[in-house]
Amino acid sequence: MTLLAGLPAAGLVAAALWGDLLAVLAVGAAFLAGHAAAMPSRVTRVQPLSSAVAVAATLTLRFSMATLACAGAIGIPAGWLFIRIRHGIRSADDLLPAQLAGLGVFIAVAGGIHEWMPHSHGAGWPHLSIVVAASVAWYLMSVFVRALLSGTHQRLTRRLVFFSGLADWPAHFVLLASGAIYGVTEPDVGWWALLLATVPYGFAHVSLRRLAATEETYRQTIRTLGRIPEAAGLTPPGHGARVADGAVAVAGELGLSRGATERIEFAAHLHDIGRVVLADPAVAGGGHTDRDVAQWSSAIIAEAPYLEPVASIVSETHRGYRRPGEVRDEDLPVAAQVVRVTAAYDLAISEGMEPVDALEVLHRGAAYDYDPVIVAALRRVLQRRGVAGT
Amino acid sequence: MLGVGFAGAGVCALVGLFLVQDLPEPFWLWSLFAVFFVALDYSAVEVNDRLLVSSAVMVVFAGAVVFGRESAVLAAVLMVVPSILHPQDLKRRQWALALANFGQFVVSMTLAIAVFSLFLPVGETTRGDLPLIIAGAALAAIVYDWLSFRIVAIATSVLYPEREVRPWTQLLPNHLALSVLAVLGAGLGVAYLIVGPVILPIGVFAFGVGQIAFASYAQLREAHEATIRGVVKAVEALDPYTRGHSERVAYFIDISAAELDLAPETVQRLRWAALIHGMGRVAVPPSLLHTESRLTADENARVERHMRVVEELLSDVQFLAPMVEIVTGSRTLAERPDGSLEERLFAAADRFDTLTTARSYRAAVTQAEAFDELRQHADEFGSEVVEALIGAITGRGEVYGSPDEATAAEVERLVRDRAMRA
Repeated sequence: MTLLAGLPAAGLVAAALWGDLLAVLAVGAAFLAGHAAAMPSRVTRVQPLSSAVAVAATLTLRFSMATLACAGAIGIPAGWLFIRIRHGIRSADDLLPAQLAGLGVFIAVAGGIHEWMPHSHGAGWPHLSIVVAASVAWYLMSVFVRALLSGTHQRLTRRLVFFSGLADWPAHFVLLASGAIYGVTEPDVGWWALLLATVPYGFAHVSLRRLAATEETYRQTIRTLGRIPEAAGLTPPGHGARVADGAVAVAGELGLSRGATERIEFAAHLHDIGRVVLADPAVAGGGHTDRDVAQWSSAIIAEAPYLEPVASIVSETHRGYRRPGEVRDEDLPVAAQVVRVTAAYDLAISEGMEPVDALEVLHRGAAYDYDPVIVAALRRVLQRRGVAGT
Repeated sequence: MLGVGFAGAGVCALVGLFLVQDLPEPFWLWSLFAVFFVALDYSAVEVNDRLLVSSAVMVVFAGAVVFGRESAVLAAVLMVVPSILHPQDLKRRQWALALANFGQFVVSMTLAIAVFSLFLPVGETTRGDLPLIIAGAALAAIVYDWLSFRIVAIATSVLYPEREVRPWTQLLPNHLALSVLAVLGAGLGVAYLIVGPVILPIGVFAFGVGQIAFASYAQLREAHEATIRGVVKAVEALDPYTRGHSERVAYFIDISAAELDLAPETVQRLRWAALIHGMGRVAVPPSLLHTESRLTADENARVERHMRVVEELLSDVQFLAPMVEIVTGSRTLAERPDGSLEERLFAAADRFDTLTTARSYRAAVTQAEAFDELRQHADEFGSEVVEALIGAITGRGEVYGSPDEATAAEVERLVRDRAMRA
């Protein structure tokens, strides 16, 4: 709260003392407007246009870093407050520190290089390279701060939060490019620069928004499809969602990539969908094995060409880590084992077992049925979540 | 034949341009523009049937500005020529289409850029020329759009006389998108002349990210539909009586929607409703699905309760909620006269397919009987919906259901089939 009131006040006083009040207010207003027209983001839900404003201001004001700092001190907290009031979302909590840290690094890098290379006058390649470098620094810094402060670190490792934050690069670099278009053309074409910068930005904005909405829808659909066997009474209620949640955390613990983690999440939601087919009396009469469930689930998922990798994970979930007396099959995908272990754990819990006993059962099976590395990762996840007795 | 004619017109326009205009200089810069054009044109994505604009137009207008009045048209048209080699047309060996495309592109582009070049300054381009150039770009985009629309309309009416061409005004989003792209391209061209080549990488990058995001959006949309379609297919495969049911209902909706002149978004929504309406069956105990007799009222209520569970699940997906609403709304049409057009069309298509395919407790009825049944329930479905469906089916000469006058052999075969299924 002190930060919120103190920063703009300090910015105003500094601007009044140094005399470039008009420019500070204009850029500050641009920061605020950049929050009002925030971009959708895959990771953080909102992505204010601050870095575009910073790049544009740096280029048009010819590297007057003090002006930028004052404007940021006024505009960014104001914009944050706006987002807070309008969207009221939790993710706004780490937004302010991330933005301020980003701007700080930006100013340090851009100002530093500019000082160090004093002969780089006139807009053009040298100035463009400086803002690109400073922008990259902003991006890495803000992702880092978010990962550091992320309230989700109880569920996921900071490392995973950091790497999934990096996936936001398209939005960030579109902002960089749009700000640069404005900054580079403004001295020569005046207000037309706004048109030149907003059109490509608008296109990217609309595309990214649609992409984010479709991704969300797709995720919802997968989650819903995963609940169908539950609705039919074939698996315990909430099984798919819990397995997916646990599997994502274990994948993070194992340091798997973002793509692999998403495939594991989808596989965890859908790994039981084949039970729907097996409930048919023609099949159910003969009884079925885990292998049947895995194969039918995989066959259903494979109907969607995009989910082919998910289907191949699911088709392996019935396979044990190692048969007694056999050497471990090196080709067995880790992803399938993650789903297998978390699903077994959740089924044990659903049957009324205590977490500590359920883990014990998995460990006992670890000699050949469950990969001990993954069981250990699951234990660490449970410990971080404070599950009793683990 | 038509393709050759179009191509001839295109070649004539090209030869004329070579005589009238200067070659674009410097050549390396032109090649760069040509490469951008081809890259953007090939990566252009088609998202539903509303937006069919290739962002490559932007490069053409930027090039026209950069190469100046004296060689604008030639520079632009030469860029477009490689698009005759569209990989899709070549893969399908549609030579006539490729030739016609070539002619259409060259002719409309020549005239549009000729109009645009009138707005370009004679000497050096300055900041003051910008408003005029931008106005010219917007106008030229409309000229290009209208011309290529007219030419495509002529070609379509010759090649596929039975197909209807949508009126020009319905393509308004296309005109708008095209004008915006043209204006942006012209603006970037002017910026290039004034500011220098530094504008190129940032302009291309900003636009490229948008393009990539748009392409992945389109791909993901398709993946989403394919995923649901896959699960529906697997669910329907459980029961021989309903195999292909949802695909057929979607088809009936599609063809009647054309008669009813429904908006593409409505049709899309109805197709989705058709696709998902069978998913509720998953939760229905198989013993209720495979019964030999009609269900009792009590059993019917149980089936409906099970189906509601899945429908409630599906309506958790925001995107699917309106479709689930259509499906559930269509069930209660008999009790309320105010069902929406979407619900009534869905219900009619669903009923028609149910009637004309066999069920475990009865054989399929003939098409004529099904039509009668639909007409009798015209108060439920709405007579315009019923007639649109019947008109669409008879207009295509398609026949569903049992043969009208079953021969003895056919009856025997049907009986045997049923015995085998049982």
